[in-house]
Amino acid sequence: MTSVDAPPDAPPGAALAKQRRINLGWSVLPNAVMLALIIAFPFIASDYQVGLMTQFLTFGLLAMSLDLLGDRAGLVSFGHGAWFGLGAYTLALTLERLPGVGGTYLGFLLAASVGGGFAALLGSQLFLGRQRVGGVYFGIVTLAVAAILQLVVMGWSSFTGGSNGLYGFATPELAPGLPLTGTQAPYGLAATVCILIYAGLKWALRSSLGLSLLAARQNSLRAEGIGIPIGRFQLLVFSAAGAIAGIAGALYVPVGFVSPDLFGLTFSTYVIVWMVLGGRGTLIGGFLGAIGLSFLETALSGSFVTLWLLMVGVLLIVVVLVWPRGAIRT
Amino acid sequence: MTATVLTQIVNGLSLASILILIALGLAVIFGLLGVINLAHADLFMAGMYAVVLAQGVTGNFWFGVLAAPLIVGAIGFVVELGVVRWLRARPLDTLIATLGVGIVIREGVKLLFGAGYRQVANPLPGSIAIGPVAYPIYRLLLIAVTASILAGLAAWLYRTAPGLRLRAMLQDRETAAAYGIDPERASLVAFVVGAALAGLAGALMSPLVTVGPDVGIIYLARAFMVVVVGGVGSLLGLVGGGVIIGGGDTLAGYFLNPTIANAAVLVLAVVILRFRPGGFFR
Repeated sequence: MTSVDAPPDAPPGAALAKQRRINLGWSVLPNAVMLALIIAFPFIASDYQVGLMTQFLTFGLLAMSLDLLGDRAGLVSFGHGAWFGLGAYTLALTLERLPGVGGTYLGFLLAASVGGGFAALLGSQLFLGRQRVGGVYFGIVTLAVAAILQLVVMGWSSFTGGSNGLYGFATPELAPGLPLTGTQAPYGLAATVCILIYAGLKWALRSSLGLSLLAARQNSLRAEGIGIPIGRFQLLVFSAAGAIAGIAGALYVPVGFVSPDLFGLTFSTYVIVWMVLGGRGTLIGGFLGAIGLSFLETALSGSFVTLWLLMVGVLLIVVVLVWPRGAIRT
Repeated sequence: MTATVLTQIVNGLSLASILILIALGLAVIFGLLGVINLAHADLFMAGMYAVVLAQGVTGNFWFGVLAAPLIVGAIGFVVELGVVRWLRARPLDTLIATLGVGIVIREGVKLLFGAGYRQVANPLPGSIAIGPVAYPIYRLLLIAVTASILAGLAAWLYRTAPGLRLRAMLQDRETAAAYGIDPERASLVAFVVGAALAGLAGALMSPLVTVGPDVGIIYLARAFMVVVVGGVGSLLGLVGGGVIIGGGDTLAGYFLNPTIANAAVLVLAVVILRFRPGGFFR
């Protein structure tokens, strides 16, 4: 197929190059605007709003990791909040035992490894067997796994604080004299990590590995036919999504407490709502969905909350029915 | 000692029958339509509020038990026609959409009844002596009721024309349509029956729990596990799944902290699902 843009004698790559330039232009502008907004936010918003925004950034990162899982592995986790909870509890428990800078870095490292490792362990059982557990069954299993983790956290109260959760642990510190308290430092850290992970994912998904993942998701039979090991790919994506969710959970810890609600079905439902309403398959859609919807929900406090949730439910149905790709498209 | 063992056995039977009762509607919809209905927990909860409503108006618990399947079946009618029917080719999106339906039902109940907790009085207080053990009448009744519903469902599926049509549709949708079966209509029937069963289960369970808008969620994971462990699409499998989960829970709860026992049984269910994805009784 020849493109009308390129003269007929032009080398075949010319039209593609032009196309790519245009696409680049389209994708650079919104990204630059977003970057500017994230950097400017602490200077234009109140301390209270910056504090909220820090939390919402971590939710956004969580929704982004769920979208990664859906877009590149074709899997929807109905218990993804549990991985966020794992990360948050891991950092909090580490800080309880080892306060200070060392504990902070160790805790973050552990949060990523526990999130990624647990996903890898579960994934190795689900995806590498003779009969892969995928699709709707993966949804049920993740839902059950989150319920199991919540029960364990509630039941093992000497270690996890039970239904009260954990609080009063040491404040995480990025460097001696730079604790993650107040609003600016936690915001700066959360924003930096979100930007780095988003950029890293965008880069990784354009690589040949990322494209093979996409191929595997779009037509698994054909992909398997040309030698793409689908099970191992799903395992890889699930582990990466788990690790990112764990990091997101750890970033939530400066709030000062972690509760077993993070493992609950309600929180995991929220993550799905953010991703679906924001727009699936874009990474940034879920991220923006989480931030936008969380801000709206905070603004509509009081007796309005029930009505707000009712609207969210209706929107979720309508978007899935008539507009399955959501608000943001690329 | 015999008394303890006997109590544990009846406890296990009671829990198994309760779990089967709760999972019935889920199993019908999953087994016949291949649809995982994430609004199931909320349909179950709506059945409880049907009892709260009927008991408030008439003062009689049993009116609620009659009204619940009608009201919740009507909700199911709307959900099938409005949502589920359009997502047949997109099973993952069906999960997400029914999640949305669940939110709407839950928040709707909060708007109508408030977010507070309600109590439904036990219509049959008192106990019966089974050998050396006194056991609550209502729990024994539930075991019998669950067994009768199962028998009724089996008779409907295997001995009547609508049941035959449903099984034909399940086996081969297009061939069934060629033989004059309207698959759209059959799907609607299956979904409404599943929803009505969820409502009935909620109504029957209402005296045993504290009724609140979030009550269904507690049971959702276990109900799913009862369905998939036993094997989707088989009533016998459903019974097996209920016995494994309910019995396991009671047994583990005797030795462990009940919360951990709950978790342990779910772990067992995930392990079974890993090694026998088609279910245990296939």
